[in-house]
Amino acid sequence: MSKLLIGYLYKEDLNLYGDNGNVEVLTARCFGRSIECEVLLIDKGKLTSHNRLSEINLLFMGGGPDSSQKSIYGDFLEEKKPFLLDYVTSGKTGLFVCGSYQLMGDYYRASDGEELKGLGIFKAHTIHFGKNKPRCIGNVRATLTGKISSDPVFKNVNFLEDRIVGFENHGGRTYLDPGAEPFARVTYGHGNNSEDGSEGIILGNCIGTYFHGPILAKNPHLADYLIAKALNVQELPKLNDGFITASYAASKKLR
Amino acid sequence: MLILTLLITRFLRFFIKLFGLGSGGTWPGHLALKIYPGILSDPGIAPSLGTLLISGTNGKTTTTKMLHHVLQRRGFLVITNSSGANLTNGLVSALLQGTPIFSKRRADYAVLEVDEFSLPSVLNQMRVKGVVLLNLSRDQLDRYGETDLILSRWEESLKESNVSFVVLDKSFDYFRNMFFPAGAEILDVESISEKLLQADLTSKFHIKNIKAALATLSFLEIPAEDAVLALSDFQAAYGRGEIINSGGVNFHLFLAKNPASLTTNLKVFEKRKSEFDALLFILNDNIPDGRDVSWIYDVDPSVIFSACKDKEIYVSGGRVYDMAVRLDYAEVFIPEENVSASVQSITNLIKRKSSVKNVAVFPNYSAMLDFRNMLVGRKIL
Repeated sequence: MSKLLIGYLYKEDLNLYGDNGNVEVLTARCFGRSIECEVLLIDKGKLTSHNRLSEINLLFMGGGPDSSQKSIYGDFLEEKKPFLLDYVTSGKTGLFVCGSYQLMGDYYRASDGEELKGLGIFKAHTIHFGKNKPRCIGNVRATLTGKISSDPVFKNVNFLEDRIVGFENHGGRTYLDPGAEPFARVTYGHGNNSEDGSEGIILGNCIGTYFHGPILAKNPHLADYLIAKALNVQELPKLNDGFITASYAASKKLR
Repeated sequence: MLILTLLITRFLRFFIKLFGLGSGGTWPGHLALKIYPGILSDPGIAPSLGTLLISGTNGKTTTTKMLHHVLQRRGFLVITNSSGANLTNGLVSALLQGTPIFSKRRADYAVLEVDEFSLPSVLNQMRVKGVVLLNLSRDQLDRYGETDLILSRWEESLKESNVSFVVLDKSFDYFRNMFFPAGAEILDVESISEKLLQADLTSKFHIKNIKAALATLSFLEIPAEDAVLALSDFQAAYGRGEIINSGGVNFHLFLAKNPASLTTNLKVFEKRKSEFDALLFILNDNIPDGRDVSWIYDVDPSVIFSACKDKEIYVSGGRVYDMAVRLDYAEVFIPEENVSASVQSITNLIKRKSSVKNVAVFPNYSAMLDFRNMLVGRKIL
């Protein structure tokens, strides 16, 4: 089996809600199956210093407090855009959580009306309504849309359900453009905007989502799906997931 | 107005105690603020030598207790909020309780731990002698929002205050660049020499808390040598290094309410690992804890692994399986029978094991209160 090379963007700045746990989970689930796995940290600065970018088969980026998001913003827009655009359109696998999901969209309109341009790769935009609308906080559950749930690879690795569980915490509300495909449909909680029932976005094999938890610790079936897609394999050996299955079952009842 | 408020709240406190309704740490203050909203600005409740406020994400309760301990040993009459009631109502309760109605002797100092978000409003209302800023990290983000926001509010309120000194830990970048009022003296906790500190103190308590207490006491003309001596019989605050014996087992409580406190306490534990047979993690997601438990992944897995290695591991609490999964990913082995949402049944299981005599317990906030309640019949003091 080939090797998983995880590209981890801005680890130092964007790690607000335990999201680095996602990378830990991917690494551990590879380790448990004797799949070779390595993490390549991509920080601020020119990408020319990395000579293995083309070998990355799973890209991860989280979110951070406002100050950290501001500190990476310029670099993200100027240095990373061509690479990311190419990465997503070529069908490679990626996961963008919260702040990075927002920045991958067209724009983010802050509560004072100021508009921050995004990369425009995800066909979506985000609006922060300030005090007019409450923050979207709490336990959240959603059903994966057909793109993933009907994928034979997902059916092979899924030992739970089509549902994902997690915790969300975002002030901005995201609206998908017509034709853009949501990652999941909310069954409990807010999702993208607490209006249209959509949660996240999926484009090619890249996912944008508001799910924390971390999402891959709470949803091992999704973690395995990403690993299988990244490695371009149809199935993966089973792991001993007793505690995880119990945690997933318990999370379905959280209020 | 003050006298009336004092009389009414004394009366309330009497009833709370009479009917065993609690420690009286918050209700009297809550009522007092309704009757007399400006009470914190009233010089009648101010201690004669000054008020010290201790804030930060972690270490407030222990540092406050150390300051109280040393000042009392030096013969001062000191008001404190030892129950950890650190919102405005808790502070007012403590100050009211320490304010005499008929006698002449007024307290010398008030040493009060203050919630990070309450600090600015308290500073705006009260005349404060010194402020201790311990640290600031992620804690209950679903309730409080980002640390940047807290920091800017601290800065603003300090600028407008007339505090005479600020003690803080400059090893944190976010404190190094802070702006302070021109009149205030600033002391870095790192300026306190470690040579002074005895091993029995540093093995039990976080060194930063000891240093913060010593730095603060230096402003009150108490030399570090004397303070260290006074701390030689210092007892841990409830749930923070406290030992509870039950059914022949010593349960050592290490409050672990956020990534920084879990990491720090695992490292403190690591130094004394040979004294322990087992570790018990209890994770809840009640309102005082924050509903989001994803912070457990902000703790370096190698720190968890190293602490748990070769020890018996038990897991409990409302979010027991989240914690078990987290430990599992850190490559910690946990026997299935050692995992249960019921703290009572896990505690009973531990007591039945003859090989387990000393257990390090890492509970988050409400889990610590529940655990104490179960073993000693009281949540707080």
